[in-house]
Amino acid sequence: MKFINSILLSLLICSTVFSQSLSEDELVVTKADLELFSVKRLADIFTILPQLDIYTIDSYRYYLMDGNLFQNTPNSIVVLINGVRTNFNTLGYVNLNQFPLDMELVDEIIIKKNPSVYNGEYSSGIIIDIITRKIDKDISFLFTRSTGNEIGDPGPYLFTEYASANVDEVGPNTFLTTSYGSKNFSTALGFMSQVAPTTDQAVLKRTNNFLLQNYIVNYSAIYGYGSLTSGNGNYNLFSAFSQSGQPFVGSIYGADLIFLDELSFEIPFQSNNFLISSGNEISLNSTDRILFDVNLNYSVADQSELSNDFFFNSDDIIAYGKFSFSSSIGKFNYLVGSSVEYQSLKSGYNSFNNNRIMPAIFASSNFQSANNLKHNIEAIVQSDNNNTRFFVNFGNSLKLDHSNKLVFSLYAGNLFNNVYSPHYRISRGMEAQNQYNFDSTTQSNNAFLSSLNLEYSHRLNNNISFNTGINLTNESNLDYVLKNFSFNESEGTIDINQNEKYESVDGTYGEFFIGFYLRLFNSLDQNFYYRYKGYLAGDEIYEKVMQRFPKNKFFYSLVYTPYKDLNGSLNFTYTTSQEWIEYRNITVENDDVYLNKLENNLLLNIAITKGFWKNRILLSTVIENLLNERIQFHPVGSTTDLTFYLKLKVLLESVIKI
Amino acid sequence: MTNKYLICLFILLNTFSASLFSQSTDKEVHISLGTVYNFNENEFHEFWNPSMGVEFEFSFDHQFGELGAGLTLMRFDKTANATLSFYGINYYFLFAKNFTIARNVSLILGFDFGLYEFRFDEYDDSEIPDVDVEREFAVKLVAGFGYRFAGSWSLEFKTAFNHVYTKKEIDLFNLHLDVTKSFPMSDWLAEILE
Repeated sequence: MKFINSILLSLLICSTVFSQSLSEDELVVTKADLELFSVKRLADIFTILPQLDIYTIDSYRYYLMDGNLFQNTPNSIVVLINGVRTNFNTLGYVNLNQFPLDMELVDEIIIKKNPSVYNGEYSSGIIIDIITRKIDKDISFLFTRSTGNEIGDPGPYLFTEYASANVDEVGPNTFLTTSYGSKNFSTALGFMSQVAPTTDQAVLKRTNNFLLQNYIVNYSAIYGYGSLTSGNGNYNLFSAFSQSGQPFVGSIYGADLIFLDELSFEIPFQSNNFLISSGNEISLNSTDRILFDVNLNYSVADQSELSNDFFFNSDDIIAYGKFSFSSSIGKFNYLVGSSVEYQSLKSGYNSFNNNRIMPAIFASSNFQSANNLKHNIEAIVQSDNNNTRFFVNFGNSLKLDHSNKLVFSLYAGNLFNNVYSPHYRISRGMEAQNQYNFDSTTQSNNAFLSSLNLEYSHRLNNNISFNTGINLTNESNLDYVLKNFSFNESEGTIDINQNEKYESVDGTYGEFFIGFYLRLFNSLDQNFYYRYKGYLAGDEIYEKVMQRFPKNKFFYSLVYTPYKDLNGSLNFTYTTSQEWIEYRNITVENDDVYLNKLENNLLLNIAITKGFWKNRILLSTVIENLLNERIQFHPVGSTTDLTFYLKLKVLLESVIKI
Repeated sequence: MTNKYLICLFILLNTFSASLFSQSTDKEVHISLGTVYNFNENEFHEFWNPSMGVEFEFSFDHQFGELGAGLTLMRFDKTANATLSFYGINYYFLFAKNFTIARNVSLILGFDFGLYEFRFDEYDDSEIPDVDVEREFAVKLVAGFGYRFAGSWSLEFKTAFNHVYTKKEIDLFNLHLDVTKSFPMSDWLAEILE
């Protein structure tokens, strides 16, 4: 095994492949990436973004690793559509897989990797801006269905001494969209249905108290999107209604789940969400524009009707408005504005009843101080009932010549959350019912981050480029609760022992990366990426917590497009070991399901797509974890086995003329 | 355990060779009918005894190689009491590459992947789980020879290693004897398949 790994790594290092991304801070997933890697669900994009440190418990829900390290660095993912805030979340948690939009309507996805300000929006984690594509002329129909099968079923051995537990199908996931486009107006209406089983032994074992066993998530949504250009104005509207638990179509109930780090445990729930987001832009003249965004989000969540272990519900309203003015004076462009957010967050079974108004002002500017030197600066100041906080990012790009560029950027400010984390809200509810006493969950807003990035990129020609850089990040005033989980042999569950609380933790970590991009022929694109990330200085506890990140990460991707109707892709990620000190007392004797240390992971995925009828019908097969290595992304998370997917896409574009 | 690496290596080499040697420009569709015979012995055969099976395949020429889909059907009779007999049905997508080595004779290399379905006999025993069908992902590596005769007919003799990814994995080595009829691809069919 080690020998094979060495060969694969040598191949990686010898191959001259590499990232086309111009800057590490802003990652872009293009429509071609979505198609060539045959992304089945939106969160699959994380498998082709090695720059992000993400983990999953069950291959359906993904969490930011940075966002779950400390009490006051919230797991914050802010999702925008065409630059407009959606406030898409349930109980403060964003499951990107459930974002209600057909990926066929997506043109590209921009991801701000660091805590940053982006067009007047702030996230302490990452910002994901989903840019929709131009709708085809006249009436079109799009249909996508994908389903998968994880290996490991007993097969005929079910009736022998080799009998084992069954493994369910993954999916099906269905999208059905109809759209209409004309010169000045376009609209799309769609339906989405998703089924995600959570049948891994790691989950079932520790949730044996629930009435609901053999979990299946049923999630469905309807969504609408519209765009109008009239006179000097552009007006966009996105709206969606989604539901988990009882699906819109079909009778099989399937609760959604949320994993709580505080408990190392899943909570089953059902939810309804409604959101409407509108982004509008009016041009006053050739340089001046007025922009105003509106967002309303209403969501309710309750414990699953098939579970009575944890009592909670929520009834949340978030209303958000943003107004800004942009202009330019010569090569100096600027945007100034103000936003206000109203939150009414209620939980029926406990005392959590939070109403807050959060006004903010923001400004951004980009300008040139010399012909080859560009700058951009963005800042936000926001306050709520208790605190005022700020964040600023400052980027500089120096073009040395046609091929070489230096980028230097600084980020500094408070780490604050726009919505309360699910951990915070549910744990408050449990404390209120005396189910658990966390004595630990704080939501202070005074953690401070400062980060410095230096990056050099070289583009030899359109076929070969590389970039490299370093990042130094200092965090201070962090709160940390050292949890101590252990395995309860008799119950088969994870128990919480005495917590240890640390306040005002400080620390610094560093990151080094190098990426290459190489195109061989016109049909073979390769990317290679290597990243080292590790603790540099600070408190002892900070060093221990940082062991959660894999120090070394290698990524390689290959896209082969030899024919118009046939293409393939391959991507693999190798990460070195990770240690989660919260699980230090979990031993491998616990049925080999739970671990305290994640060993090296090697994940290899391939996708092949064949087009039929001039690519109106696309049939894709995706094999994830082809080598079928044991891969776990979290000490108590599920094990990823080889999974085989089929995806069928039917694109009937402009079939009805109007 | 090394199976998975050998499977990956075979598929990679096969794909690589396909990209080096482009397929004939004469586009045809092929329909095959044949028999399948399992000849290896391992732990699986302590529980089941396979009978001769049948195979059906549809494929078409693509610049990259031969692409298509197929199925095999085999009967597996139980040899131990504590289990059930079943029909094994393998549905798969196929890729094959023909290398001409002599007049009318070609070397065939390819691989298939798809689902292996275990369709159990009916039974009435409360101690046995109530399951009719089990399915699992399977791959098949294929190598053999083809002989073209009478213009559009071919006789193909192939060996195949069929690997089923059940919890306790199943390895079957099979012999395939197929008769294939080839047809020129009509324009309307070419438009659908490309």
